[in-house]
Amino acid sequence: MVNRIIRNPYILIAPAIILVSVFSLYPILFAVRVSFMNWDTVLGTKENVGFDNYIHIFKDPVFWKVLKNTLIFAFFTVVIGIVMAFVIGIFLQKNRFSDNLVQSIIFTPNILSAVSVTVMWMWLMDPNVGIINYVLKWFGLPTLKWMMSPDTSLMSIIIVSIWKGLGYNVMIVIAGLQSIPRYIYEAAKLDRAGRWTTLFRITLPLLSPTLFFLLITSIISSFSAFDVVSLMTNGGPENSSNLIVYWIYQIGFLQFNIGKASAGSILFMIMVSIIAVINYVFFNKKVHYQ
Amino acid sequence: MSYAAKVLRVLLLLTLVLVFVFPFIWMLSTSLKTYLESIKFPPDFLPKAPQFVNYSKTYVRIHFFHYAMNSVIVTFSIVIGQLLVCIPAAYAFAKKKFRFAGLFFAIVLIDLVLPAQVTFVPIYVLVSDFGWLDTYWAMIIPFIYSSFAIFFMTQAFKQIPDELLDAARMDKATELQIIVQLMLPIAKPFVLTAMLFTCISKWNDYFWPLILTNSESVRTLPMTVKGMISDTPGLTQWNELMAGNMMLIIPILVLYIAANRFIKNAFVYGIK
Repeated sequence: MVNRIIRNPYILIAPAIILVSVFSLYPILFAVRVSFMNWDTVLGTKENVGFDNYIHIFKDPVFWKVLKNTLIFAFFTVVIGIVMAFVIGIFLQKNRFSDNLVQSIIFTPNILSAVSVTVMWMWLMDPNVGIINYVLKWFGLPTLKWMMSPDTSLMSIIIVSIWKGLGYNVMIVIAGLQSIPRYIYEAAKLDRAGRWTTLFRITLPLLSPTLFFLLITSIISSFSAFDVVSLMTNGGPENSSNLIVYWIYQIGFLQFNIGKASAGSILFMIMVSIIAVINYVFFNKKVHYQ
Repeated sequence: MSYAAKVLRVLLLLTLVLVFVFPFIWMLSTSLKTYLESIKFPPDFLPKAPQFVNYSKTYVRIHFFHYAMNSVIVTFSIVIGQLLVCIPAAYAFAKKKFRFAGLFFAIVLIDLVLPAQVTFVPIYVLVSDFGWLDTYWAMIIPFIYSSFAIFFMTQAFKQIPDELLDAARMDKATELQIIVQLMLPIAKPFVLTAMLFTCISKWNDYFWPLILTNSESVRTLPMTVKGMISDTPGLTQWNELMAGNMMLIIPILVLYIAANRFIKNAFVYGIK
């Protein structure tokens, strides 16, 4: 009996298809529909309002600030994250004991909850009693208010995000480096290629598919950043560290405006889709394969 | 390697170790201080007398046992649910030929591309329509499906030669026997990798418990530690907060030290 049922492939895939339909496909369509509604979850009122939510969003100065913050956040976390991962990856690529140990150490924040990591950093960055300000003072540098000030709050969440993600990026770079065949380096040596020539003419081009993969996934994940914002700053002060997903959360869950929040989700989805399409186009054509 | 490169490498390694180890040591040290020691500025590196009592106080204060049990219930239910949903699907996609297989596979993979943050608003509405808010259902059912697990296991099952399955069928093995006694043992490392990845990410999750629950009853461990941060700056009991955070970190750190290489691979190949 069981045997007859599980011989049918449609029955085997049915639970997965039902779940993905209910919790992924339907929510996307639902968000599109609700984005054209004025839906207040407290009063329970619903009405169709056409493009009003979108118009509101585009007229909202907070949205533009949040978008700008998101772009700045993504730019710095992605660029610094990948450049540092590349440099560290080059230095840690051998299978030595010390290299493996340091790889494991810098990977640790990746397996920890965002809560653990941010709580730890809020303690380090506390404006009054934090050790980082103590070190700055010790070096005779001005101390900062970190996540408490509009000037430095975005920087604070950028630093924590890079710190948390660096180990993962390094592992990807090392996996990429190890997949480059040794004989190419041996040939370069025979041709008397110098260290820098080898790095820029061989390693970098052959690593480019890996770096490009890292670039796209990092951009999407930094656009989706929520935990660090929610935990460290709640988007503040004065929206200085508010990013798009947290802003959508604020509208939907703190202002109870599900329609406007859905419109925000749709705009967010469009941004992510553009990145995914760029990925698809470039990944298939432009990037150097060996 | 030239002398300069060696020096540079050692300096880089030491800097990295300092930047990545010091925060943990500082947290451990703070967790053993008295409140007054913890807010002393300039700080002392070590507490005068280690206050292990911070841990027992915090254990009671944050209802550690209650939240840890919730974390265990939620995480293990999701892992078991994923095994039951994803293994059959992966088996079908890897080893069966059927109409629209490509289309269904594309549907299954849709949220491999789209981040969860796209659909959290409608999922909240849906879950509250089901009457699931503040229940284990909300924390479990939407997550017993995983695109990644299906994709990863499909790739693993595809590597098992069809001849092996045919031979088993000749010996009158049932379909269930083929999955459980033939495919799973061969693909065990891949299945374990996928489940380890699920385990760690659900154990650590902060986003979904925040969205899908309002009361404390079914919330998980990270939520309660987060709750210890005082809303009024300057009033946080840093020493107890760090003790709470240590209690959140230690179980997963022990797991990481025990299965280091395995976990790193789970993440690197997991996300890739």
